[in-house]
Amino acid sequence: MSQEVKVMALGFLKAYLPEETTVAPNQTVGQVVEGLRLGTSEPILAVVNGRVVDWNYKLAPGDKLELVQGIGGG
Amino acid sequence: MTLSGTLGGNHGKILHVNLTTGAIEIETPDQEIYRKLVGGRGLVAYLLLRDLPQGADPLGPENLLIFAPGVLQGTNIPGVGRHGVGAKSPLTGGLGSSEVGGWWGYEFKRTGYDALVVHGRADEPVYLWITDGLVEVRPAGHLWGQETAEVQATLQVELGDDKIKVAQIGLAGENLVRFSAIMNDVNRAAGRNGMGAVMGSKNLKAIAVRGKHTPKIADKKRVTGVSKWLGQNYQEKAAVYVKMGTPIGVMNLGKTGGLPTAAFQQPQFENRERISGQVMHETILTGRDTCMVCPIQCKQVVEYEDPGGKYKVDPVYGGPEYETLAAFGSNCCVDELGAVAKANERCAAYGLDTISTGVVLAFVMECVDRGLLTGADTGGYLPRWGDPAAILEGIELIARRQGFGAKMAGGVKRLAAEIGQGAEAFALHAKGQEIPMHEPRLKVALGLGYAVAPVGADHMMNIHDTFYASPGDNLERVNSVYQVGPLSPREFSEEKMQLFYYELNWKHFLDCGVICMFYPYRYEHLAEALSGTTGIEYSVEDILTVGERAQTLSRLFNYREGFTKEDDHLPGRVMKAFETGPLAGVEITPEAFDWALHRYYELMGWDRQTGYPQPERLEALGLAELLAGLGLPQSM
Repeated sequence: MSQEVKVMALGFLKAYLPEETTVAPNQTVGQVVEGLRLGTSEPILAVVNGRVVDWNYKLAPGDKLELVQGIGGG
Repeated sequence: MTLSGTLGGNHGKILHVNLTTGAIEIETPDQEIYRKLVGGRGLVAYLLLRDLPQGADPLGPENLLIFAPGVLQGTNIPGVGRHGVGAKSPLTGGLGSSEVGGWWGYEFKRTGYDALVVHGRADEPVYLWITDGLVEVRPAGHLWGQETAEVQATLQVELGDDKIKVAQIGLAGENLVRFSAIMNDVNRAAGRNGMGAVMGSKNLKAIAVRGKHTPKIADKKRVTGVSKWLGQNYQEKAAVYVKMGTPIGVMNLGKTGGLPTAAFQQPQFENRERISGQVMHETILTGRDTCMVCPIQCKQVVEYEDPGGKYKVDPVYGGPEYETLAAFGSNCCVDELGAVAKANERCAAYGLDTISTGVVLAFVMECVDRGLLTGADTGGYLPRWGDPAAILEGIELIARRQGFGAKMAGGVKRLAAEIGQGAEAFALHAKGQEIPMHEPRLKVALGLGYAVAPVGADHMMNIHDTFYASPGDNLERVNSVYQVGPLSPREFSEEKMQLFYYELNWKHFLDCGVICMFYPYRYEHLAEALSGTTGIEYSVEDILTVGERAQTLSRLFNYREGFTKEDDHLPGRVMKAFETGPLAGVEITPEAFDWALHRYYELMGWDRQTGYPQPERLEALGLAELLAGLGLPQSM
């Protein structure tokens, strides 16, 4: 198993992170997103291995982190 | 600068039209009412408390139908081109309050009035024609039974001006469907709470308006400063609405388990891409529409005709937004975009709320699936999960009150009570209003918001916990009054409840100013805009107090009409954990919900045991004087 964390952006966040990338594990989601400097002030939700997680969720080796914009209203 | 006499942004006049007697009166309210309530929901709740007899039948002539733009309507501030509609709701029996965009509210305000209150009931179908210095009640027999696009076109020809704006009901309102909408500009819906049925009960088909009186602004420079900030920032800070609008929610919420599927029974909708905004934009989208003074242009316009001609969709009716895509799509397990677009078109043509309609249809699908309804019960209407034809047939039955449609037209609460056999357990509503397309297990405080909203389940006068799950504009706004970092969307906490308190007051303030919630304004921007418009200084605390007043007045109205703490309820289905999917294991326990509910009461100054607003808070909010003489109890 890879020791890195795969990160990919979905939807319009792809504009800020077009390609899948990898980061080191043992960081929180918040630390990873801040490090990526995505350049948006809109809300971001994190999904790790198919489950919704919090900003302070600590990523483990081999995790797959997907980022998606939060949305409300309609 | 302070204007003498009337506050800036207002005309100082409320128009009252009595359809029983034909009387037309103009009220010149005390300026304190404008200062404290601003407009929209606050004004609606106050007028209902003041003028509507306790216990009035929502579909009787006593009910009031109120149209109330906000004080900022008529300024150049983006996002204020909206108006509120209110009455006692025939769906819930409590406060009805629905907000809508478009162009009608702007044009109405230009006729020289700050609000319109319709009283009584006409003997025959009529429409109102309001223009500068003229208010006429005109016969509308020739319009009755017509679809919304036909009615608008007819009135523009009849009145000789294609710039006339029309608010109206369709077949559903005429037939008193309890979740019928009032449509304006053909494709904009004051959709929730059954305001269309109230209008139909008054035999009032339409209200046509044309004016030229923009209210005075106290300090245009201050107002323009806010507009300039927005102009410089909206493309970045509201990018999701600029790029696609609400339909992005199908994929985004679908990924996170927040897209309701099979009436909130399944954790994800596998075929969500087929009904997504992305596919809609690549296939049937023909344009984007907008509201008065709005550069975002979030509205969808679609045109479609399938090879068989089943789903020919007229672009005059706009296109489906997120709520509609989910309500008729994933919520009913329908994955045909053309059918969902057709359902949206029919609802606009007939004046039906797409959220309630979709929830009702999914409920009937589930009843059929569980064997609680048979063809003998429904006259042969047996909708199945995923059947697009059943959606379209159901809309026809409801709008026309044909056959089983007459029962569906009452909403899920009434329908479940009639069906019995345990159906109440999966009738998804709060206070009788059907639950919108946002998942409380992804956003737990939104679930509490469904329960406590004065109008029943509502996603707009509510918070979306996911907005505060990461750093960004939403948290920065709150941090100007309450310092808090990213919060889990799936947990209640003291910090979450403080945020809930501030942001609910903000949302209710937006519905008093009647300002679009898709704009990235901070509290201080709209305090500045309101100050510049009216000539009175509003602080951030002042505008949040306006929102709290609106919530409190709404609460007092509901309690006067018989509501209790027991009505602050969330259906058990949306509290129980899924076993799989992105939200597996997430639940809202009754204990956590109960704690959060009582904490909210405390923050609002409502009695912990009864949920009734306490005299000390009414005094602090400056409401005691306004309510004196209305006969409201001091406590419950």
